[in-house]
Amino acid sequence: MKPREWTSTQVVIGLVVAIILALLYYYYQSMMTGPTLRKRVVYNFSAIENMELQIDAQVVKLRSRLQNNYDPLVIASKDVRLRLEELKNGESAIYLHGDERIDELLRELELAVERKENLIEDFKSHNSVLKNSLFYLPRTVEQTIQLAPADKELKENLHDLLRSVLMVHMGDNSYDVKEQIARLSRAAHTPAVRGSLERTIKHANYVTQYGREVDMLVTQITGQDTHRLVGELAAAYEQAFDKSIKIANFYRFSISLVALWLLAYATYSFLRLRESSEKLNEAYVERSQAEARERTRNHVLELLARNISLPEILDPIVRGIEAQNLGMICSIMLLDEEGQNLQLCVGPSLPEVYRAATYAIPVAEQRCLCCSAVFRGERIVSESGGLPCAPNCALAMQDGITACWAEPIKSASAKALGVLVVYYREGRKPNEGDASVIENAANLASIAIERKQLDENLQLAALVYQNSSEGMVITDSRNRILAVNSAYIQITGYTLDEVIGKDPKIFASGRHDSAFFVAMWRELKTAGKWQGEIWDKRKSGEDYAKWVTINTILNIEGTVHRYLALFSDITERKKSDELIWSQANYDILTGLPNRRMFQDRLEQEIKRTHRAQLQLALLLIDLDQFKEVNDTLGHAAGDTLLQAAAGRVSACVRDTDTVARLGGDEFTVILSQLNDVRQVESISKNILMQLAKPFHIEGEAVYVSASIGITIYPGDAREMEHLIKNADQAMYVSKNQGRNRSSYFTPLLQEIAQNKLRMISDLRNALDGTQFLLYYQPIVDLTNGEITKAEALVRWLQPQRGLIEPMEFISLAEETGLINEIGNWVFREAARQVKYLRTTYSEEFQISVNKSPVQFRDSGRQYNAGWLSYLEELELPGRSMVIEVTEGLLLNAESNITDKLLKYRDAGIQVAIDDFGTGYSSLAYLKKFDIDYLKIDQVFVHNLENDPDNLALCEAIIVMAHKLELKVIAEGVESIAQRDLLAAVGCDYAQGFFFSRPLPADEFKKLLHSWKV
Amino acid sequence: MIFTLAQPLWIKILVGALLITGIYAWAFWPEIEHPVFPPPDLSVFAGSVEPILPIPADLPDLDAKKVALGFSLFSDKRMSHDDTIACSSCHQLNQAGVDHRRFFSGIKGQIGDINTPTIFNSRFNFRQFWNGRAPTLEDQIDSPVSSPGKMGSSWEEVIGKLRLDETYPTLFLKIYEDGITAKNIKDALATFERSLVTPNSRFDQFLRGNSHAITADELNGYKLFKSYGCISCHQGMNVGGNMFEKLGIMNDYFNTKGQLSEADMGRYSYTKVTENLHEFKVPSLRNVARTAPYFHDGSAATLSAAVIIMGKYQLGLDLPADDVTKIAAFLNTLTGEYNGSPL
Repeated sequence: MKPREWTSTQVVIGLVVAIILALLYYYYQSMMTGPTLRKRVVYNFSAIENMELQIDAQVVKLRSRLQNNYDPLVIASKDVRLRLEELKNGESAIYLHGDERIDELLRELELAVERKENLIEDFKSHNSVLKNSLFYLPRTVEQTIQLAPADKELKENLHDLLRSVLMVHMGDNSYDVKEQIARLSRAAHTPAVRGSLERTIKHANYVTQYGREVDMLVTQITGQDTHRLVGELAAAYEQAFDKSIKIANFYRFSISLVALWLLAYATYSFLRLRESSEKLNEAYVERSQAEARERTRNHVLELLARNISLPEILDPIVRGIEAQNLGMICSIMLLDEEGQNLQLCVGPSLPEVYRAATYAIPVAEQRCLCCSAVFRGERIVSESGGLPCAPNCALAMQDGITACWAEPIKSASAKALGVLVVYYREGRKPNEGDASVIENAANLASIAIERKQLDENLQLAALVYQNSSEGMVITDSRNRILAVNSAYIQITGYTLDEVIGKDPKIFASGRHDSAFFVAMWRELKTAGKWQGEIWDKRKSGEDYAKWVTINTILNIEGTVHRYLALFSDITERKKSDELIWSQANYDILTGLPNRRMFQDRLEQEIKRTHRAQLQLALLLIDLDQFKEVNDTLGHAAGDTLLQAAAGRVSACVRDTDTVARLGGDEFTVILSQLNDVRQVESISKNILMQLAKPFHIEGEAVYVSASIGITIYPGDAREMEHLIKNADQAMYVSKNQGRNRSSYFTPLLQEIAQNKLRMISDLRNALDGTQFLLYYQPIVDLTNGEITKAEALVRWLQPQRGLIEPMEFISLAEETGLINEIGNWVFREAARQVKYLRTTYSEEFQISVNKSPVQFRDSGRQYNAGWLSYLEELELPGRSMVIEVTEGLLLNAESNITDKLLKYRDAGIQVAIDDFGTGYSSLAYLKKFDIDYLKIDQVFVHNLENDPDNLALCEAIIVMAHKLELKVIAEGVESIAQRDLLAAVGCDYAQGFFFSRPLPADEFKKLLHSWKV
Repeated sequence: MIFTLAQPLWIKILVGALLITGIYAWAFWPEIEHPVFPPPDLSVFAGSVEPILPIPADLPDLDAKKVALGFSLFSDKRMSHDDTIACSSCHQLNQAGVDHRRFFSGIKGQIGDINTPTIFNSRFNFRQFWNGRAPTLEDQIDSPVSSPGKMGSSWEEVIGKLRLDETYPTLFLKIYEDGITAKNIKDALATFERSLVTPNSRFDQFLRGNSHAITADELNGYKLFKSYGCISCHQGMNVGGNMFEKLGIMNDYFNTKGQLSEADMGRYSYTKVTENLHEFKVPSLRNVARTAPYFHDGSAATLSAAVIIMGKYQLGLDLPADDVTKIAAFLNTLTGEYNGSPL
């Protein structure tokens, strides 16, 4: 610990206190007794002396028998003892001790008293014995005489003895008691007399003996020097007391002296304090004015720092100078932004009427003192209302204001801002002090006004800064971040503390190389400005793109002061752009270029190949069994397969080649800039081989193959569209030739394609005219051989080419969608026919029509509705029609197909499964879709009589169908044997050439009528 | 600290002034008036014709609380070691302050070597005990409490017991600032003892001028009492009790006694002065008719016997039986009243 340092004043004060305490201590030490205690001590001294005298008196009295009991003596003795004790150990004691003489005298006195007490005790005892004997002696003398009344001598002797004893006792020593006793003893007596005589003698002896002793004791007691000792003690005490009083007086005097000294010091200090306080006061007044000015100034500056209005800031200026100058009325008027009019801003002490009347005063007219001051830019003083003034001043005059001084308020650039106006009720000119005061005030006001204006601009800027959605960073010349706005924080995710003082380069994403930044800085240095896209990192670590504009702010010297960077987050926009681009150009599933991209590439490659005078091959690859995979294993498996296939194909080609997915299971490969076309062969073989390898999907080995069509630029075609078409045709060739192979485009293929196109065109025309015909093949009920149903079959009678079988045009119609219209026509035609047959032939007659899966797939709702309403139109029940569908439709169990099938059923239209047994025959489907008929494909019926397997199969189908409550129709029955066998195994219906080939309507009707069961 | 430099001067001046005022006030404050003991008034004895004085009827009042506390302590057996003996065991107030035994009884059945003197009027005795070894009533109490043969206790023990009591601690604190102390116990007991006075005996009435208060025989007895010299010792207010006298002035009292006890030594036992051997305090004869047996050794069973013994050893003669009767009759007139009824 640091030792405490004492200041000299503390030492002096401590010393004074110590002196006072010491003086007090000694004073009380010396105060042996105060007046009342002295009284008590002295009283005890005199009481002891008195009691001693009483004791002496009592002793004498007792001796002389003036007193007959010892009580007063005892009381007086006890009183002495008590007072002595009090002086020794009582309250008085403390005032006596310490003085040796007194102590010694006290001890002596105590001893003397004790001695005297013992003497008194002896005195009492002896005196009693003496008294006793004196009492008894005359009596025993008389008794002895009476014992020998005749003995005259005895009587005389005894009387002599008595006389002598009494005389001796009275102090006459001339009598010889001993001699008389001896004489009495010598005489002869009777024993009784002798006994009495002896007692008498003894008492006589006691009287003389104790009489002497008592006398001696009385002398001793009264001779004790207690009186002297008490007197001496009193004297010693007085002496000591006087001494102590003297010493006490000395200390008392000292204390007074110290006190007086303190008092004098205090007075001196007080006077000095007054003197210095007067001086201080003068300085204080001066300083307080300066301080008031400074305070006002600070206050105003402080107010400026806060966001408050200008009048509130100027108010303390006005009040400040008013407070300093008694009687002054001060106000500030401000020039408006245009610099045209003056308007009162603050004037807290102005008369109310004045303030109320103030309005904008045009400066240029110089109608008043204030305007002139502003206009001329100098102070104008009117000692007693000199200048005629605008209504304001006139009003002021009314209020008794006479003097008016106007001090212009000018900005740092000497631009007029307003005017400080000072009024006095008495005529007055500004003295030197006043001038400085109003100049100061005007100066301060100008700072405030300018600052306020600047603040407003700054606040605007800050508003923009903080509320901008663009991130802003301000860095110093060394590129350290000084400030960022809230948008910056929002975009980057960093907090203010984390970025301040940092170099923005630490937030770089690393996506740009150093050259990028070098270029950026070069541009910044030379042009002072840079704009561009930068990828940076957010706090989260995520990269983000921003569009940045960097501006350099120079300071007065022309060197870099600040860099200001503004940026907006364009990451989302970029991402969505990229996504859109990628979605537009790439296949999402495989990541391969899509059709659009493929076309771009193809176009580019064609150009490039053309320029290089080289060749280009276009391969179109179609996966052969992909549809089945999709159907059996599901779409997810199909997708996986596609991805794997894409990978395998890509692996087979050069990096510069393009592999694209056109959709579904179709891929294309552009082999560009080929020197030798023969290369294509090996590539396509490799692709086939790779795709033929098993794909492992969901734990299963899946086998697919590919059909590839190849066309060569510029040999086969020069146009892109043609190339694609060529490849397509070639691919179909591969497909038709049995798949898992590649085919080159040839001119023949072109021709086929052209035919196809022509046919499509014809088909369209066919719908317009009535080139379609309906043929009907009867269906015979095997139980009774009657024709109860017929299958309607479409035929196309092309004017140029004659009758065309459905095989030739149905697939084309399905491809083009014309099948809907054809199907529609077929249904209506069949319906009309059945209407006719039901009325003319059999009420239960049914006609079945084929419905292609395409018809279900396409938005066939309207056709359905059309069909049903058409039946209603014809007043036909649903049961009159049967719709034949293939098994494949049921496999594609899309919900809308199910719905449609169920709708037919609800309407009463029955459903038959055509070609049952050729596809994925699933009994579950039959139940699920509430099928009415099964049509056994003709392949099973064809060789029925010779092939027991087929028969067994047919029988199995029939049994099963019956179990499911389905009727069975056998197709392609060509012989009686077949018919019988089918009938034997329980087949319900049959159709085939055995009964009739399909017939035109007229012939069919005839057949019906001619049909014999 | 009062004086620090940080404080303005005026505060220092003020504090200084207050300090000075305080010092002066302390130094010159009027002193407390110390009472002085008034001197005893000896003039009351000046005009007395008879050597015996009546017990004054107007004794100064005692502190009633102290008397009550003293009475309580007087009867409290916890003053003894084994809680078997109180002051009142020997000084039985209904037995004229004695036990009527030859010797007192201590704790554990111990028998003492001295006769219990009466406690009545003991305040008028100049000293206490047969041999007068205690100058005051207060001093007297130490001995019975601490003597193994008497109460066998100690002040520590007594105080300890009393402090455990429910009422004593508060009772003491009501009277004494320092509560239960040996000094305060003694003060209370002594104050109570001072209340044990027996004024208004027939003889006192006679002394006060009522000549019919005593019979002619009794008056004759008084005259004999004086003429035989008894009065030379048995005088004063307490008819004795204000001096020492040797037992056996005319004849040796102890000559025939055989083995002498410590008690027989009399005043010598504590002064060790040969002249004081066998000196005893002359006992008060007030209520003497009620305090048999007599003498320090309780050797006289009756008053007459005591008178005879006194005649034999102090006067050296055999008093005539008639005189003995008369003297005894006189002694009977000395029986006073306690609390308004004869003792």
